[in-house]
Amino acid sequence: MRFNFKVNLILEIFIDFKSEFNINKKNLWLIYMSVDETRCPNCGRFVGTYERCPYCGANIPKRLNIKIFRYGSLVFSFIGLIILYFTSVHQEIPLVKINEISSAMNFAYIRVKGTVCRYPLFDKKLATFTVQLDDGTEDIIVKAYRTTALKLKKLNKIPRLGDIMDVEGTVRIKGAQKILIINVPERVKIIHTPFMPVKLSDIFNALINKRVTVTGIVSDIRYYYRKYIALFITDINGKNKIKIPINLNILGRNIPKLDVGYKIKVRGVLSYYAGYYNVVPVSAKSIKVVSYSTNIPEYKISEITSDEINRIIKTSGKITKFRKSSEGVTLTISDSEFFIYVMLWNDIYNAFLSKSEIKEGAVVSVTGRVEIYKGKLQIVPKKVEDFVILEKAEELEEVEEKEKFIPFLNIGEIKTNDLGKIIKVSGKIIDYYEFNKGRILTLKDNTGELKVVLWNDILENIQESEYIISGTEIAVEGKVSQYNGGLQIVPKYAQQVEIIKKIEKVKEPFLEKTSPNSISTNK
Amino acid sequence: MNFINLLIYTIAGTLIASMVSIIPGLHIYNVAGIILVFSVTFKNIIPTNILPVFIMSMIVTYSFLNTIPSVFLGAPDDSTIFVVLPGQKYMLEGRGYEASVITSIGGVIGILLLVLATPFSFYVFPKVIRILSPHMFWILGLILVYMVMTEWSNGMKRAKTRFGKFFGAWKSLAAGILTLILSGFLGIIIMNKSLLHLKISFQRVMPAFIGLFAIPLIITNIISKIEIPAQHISESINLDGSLIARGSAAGFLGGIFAALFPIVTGGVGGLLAGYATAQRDERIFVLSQGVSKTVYYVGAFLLFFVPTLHITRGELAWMLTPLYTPHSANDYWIALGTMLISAALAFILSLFYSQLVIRLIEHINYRLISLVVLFILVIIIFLLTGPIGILIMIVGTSIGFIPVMFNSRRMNCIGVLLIPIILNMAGLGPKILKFLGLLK
Repeated sequence: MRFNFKVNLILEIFIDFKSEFNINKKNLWLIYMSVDETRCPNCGRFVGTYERCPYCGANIPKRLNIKIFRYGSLVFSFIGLIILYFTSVHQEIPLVKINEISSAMNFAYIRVKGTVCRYPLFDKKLATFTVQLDDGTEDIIVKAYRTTALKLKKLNKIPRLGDIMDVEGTVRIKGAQKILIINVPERVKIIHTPFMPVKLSDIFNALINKRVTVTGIVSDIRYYYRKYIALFITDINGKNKIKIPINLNILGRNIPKLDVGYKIKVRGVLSYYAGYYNVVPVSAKSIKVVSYSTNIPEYKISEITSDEINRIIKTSGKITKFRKSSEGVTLTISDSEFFIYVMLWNDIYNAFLSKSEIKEGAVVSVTGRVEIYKGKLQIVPKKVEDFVILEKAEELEEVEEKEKFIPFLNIGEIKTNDLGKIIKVSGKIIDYYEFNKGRILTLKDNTGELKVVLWNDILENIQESEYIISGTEIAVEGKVSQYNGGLQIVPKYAQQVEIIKKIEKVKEPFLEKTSPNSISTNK
Repeated sequence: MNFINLLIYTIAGTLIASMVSIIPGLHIYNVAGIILVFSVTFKNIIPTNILPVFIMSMIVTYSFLNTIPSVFLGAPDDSTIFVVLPGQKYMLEGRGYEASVITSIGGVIGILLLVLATPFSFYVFPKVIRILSPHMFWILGLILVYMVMTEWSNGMKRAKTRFGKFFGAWKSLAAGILTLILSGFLGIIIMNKSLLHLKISFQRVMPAFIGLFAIPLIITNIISKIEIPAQHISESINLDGSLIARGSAAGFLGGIFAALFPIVTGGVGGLLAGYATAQRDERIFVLSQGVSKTVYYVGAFLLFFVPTLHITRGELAWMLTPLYTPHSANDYWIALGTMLISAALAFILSLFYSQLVIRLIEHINYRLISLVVLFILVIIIFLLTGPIGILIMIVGTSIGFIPVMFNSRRMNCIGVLLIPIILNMAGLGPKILKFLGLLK
């Protein structure tokens, strides 16, 4: 029976797989030999199911019964799965501290409980939910994809900033990044926590990741790429500065209009980042303006000390020094005895309609934050309105200048003895060239040649400045100085440059530019 | 990265993997997992930036050399002959060496095709993945259904009576469905519960995988009575340009499909490509298997380094993610270079090891080798995962025996991954967990 069965079996294989596996008679025999266990290994006779050869008495080695494995596999599968099932049913998902999650725990199914420390993001297009949790030991990114994310939303289980989230999922570790993938939205628990009112001076590390309400004066506003605003608030004394990071992409454009000096109340989550405590607002509505102005203390210059650093104060004085740099203007203002620097950044300075009025001699009022730069105190106004000219300088200057005698010299008469003196010369421009800060003219009269330096701010204010080119006759007042061994004259105001005789026809003046190498020094 | 260091670790990875690959039942993923555990525990054994190079050389070598034990030491007997692979048939004909060489040539072709696919990896695959990602669950579901459907009517012709034919037709299919359901159930349990110690979670499917795929094969080897016929080491192989082209196309299609789709293994990819291209010649089958498994194993790992793709495919890439993140296209080129060097060495080693194994099986009882491997695997599982890991392994082994004993595809055991992941992707995971009472 068994032999016949095997022969039948082999024949069926031959029929079934002949074409598919190229089985020929030779390898069919090999297969047959390999499966034949019904012949005596000693005499080669058919022995069927005997365990001892009835012809020669040799022992026939028998194989294990396949049925044992066949049905054993089924029984073991079911029993084993039932044991595993009951083991897993009664097993709690372990709650793990985030800092304990290591790379060897990749794919672990765990539970994590922490505060939502970054804005939860729900990408509608990709149907992806992302949130960052901090349990006080470290933080972890929690993600849900597609159907799970949509289910979370449907179950109203999308947390808000500062909520406590109890979540279980599969750990994924990518480099230094720890990620927990939510598989079962039903297992997500959200705990809403109240906001705790805190004074700025009472903020400390234990409050990190807690929901707080803070009130303070806006001391600084910084804008980044039109997407982020860093708002700094202090208490009334200018102390205990904290940062309110505002992400316009998330909070939208509905945040109230904010300005330096406003008193605001913010509800958010406390964190610490880049040297500052941060209160991250929960929503746009959680930023409220309490008062639009605040009593900014007025100081005499002599009263401003390092104690006032970071405070917003108001003071006034006379401009005694005006220095322009590429980033802005530094003024020195003083009362009778003391002085302080005022830094007008270009965005503020250029916003003035009457920039020419900001000059030595003008009396100004300045509101701004006290800062320290290179060991010296300075006041930094944050908006144009914070810098007010109380008294213009022109009248004073006119009076002063009327009293002065300015010598009118031929160019050849100017010697190194005149360095630092203000003189007046006249002549014809025979050459000029532009550089990034202004224009340098070569002025010639019958006695010699001299360089005249016109800074951009002077040049811009000269009437008919387009005629300040070769061929025009001008008269110039200015201070004599020396540069690269040659004498030059540098006017301070536009009024000190007077056009005597214009060149007849202006022909595309910029085409007449010459290279710096062609300029001759004063003889 | 120092070139000499890179070369040393490439050669070291190739040699270690070559020794591992010829041991039946031992998978490179398990060995790589253990190496990574050592690498984390004893820092600086292998520098982190060298780790991907080392792992790449291992996977390339494994993809070439794992044919050797399956051809020479994975022989079927009368109970499993219905699922005999052409490679094993070659062995029964005394042409195992030829089968091994054809598969290795397939591996070389697979490597070359992966190099040629570089522009696709950078510019086409990211778009394909983006388009397919939202539809992945139903595509995987269809693959699952198709995989089971292909079991239909195996053995129907063998019975004479009507009932016999009915039983014969349904036996394989029922066994396939049962294997899929049981392995899927096992997958749901191990993926949604932390049965193993948390510190070994990155190998959470290892006991199940060894149980499902490795141990049934080893036990089959131990209990089978088959004698390996004398093997002939031939100087030439029976291949021509047309066969190579057809086999390479089918193999690459299956391999790249498996590499790009999550959870789909080389076997599933090969099955689909086989049906899609309908190549019947056994030489094409053997060659395409060589191409397919190289493209699957190596391609999936190589995708990890594609800077624009940001996907992780294959167990090795997942194991490596906690320790290493590729940063630039430079990492891809290094991986590609390593792959080429290692492939060249692995091809030479495959010829050497084939001859070595042929000589060894003449003198050493391979049942003894299988017993030793079984012992090693059980010890590894016990040391890494403890008694619960052994239980999972036993359950996996029992399930893994069902297709062997009832003549269906062992590939159905992949339900351990496919079913829980498809259910989760479809949003049905929580409902099933609730139904099973696992949500407590």
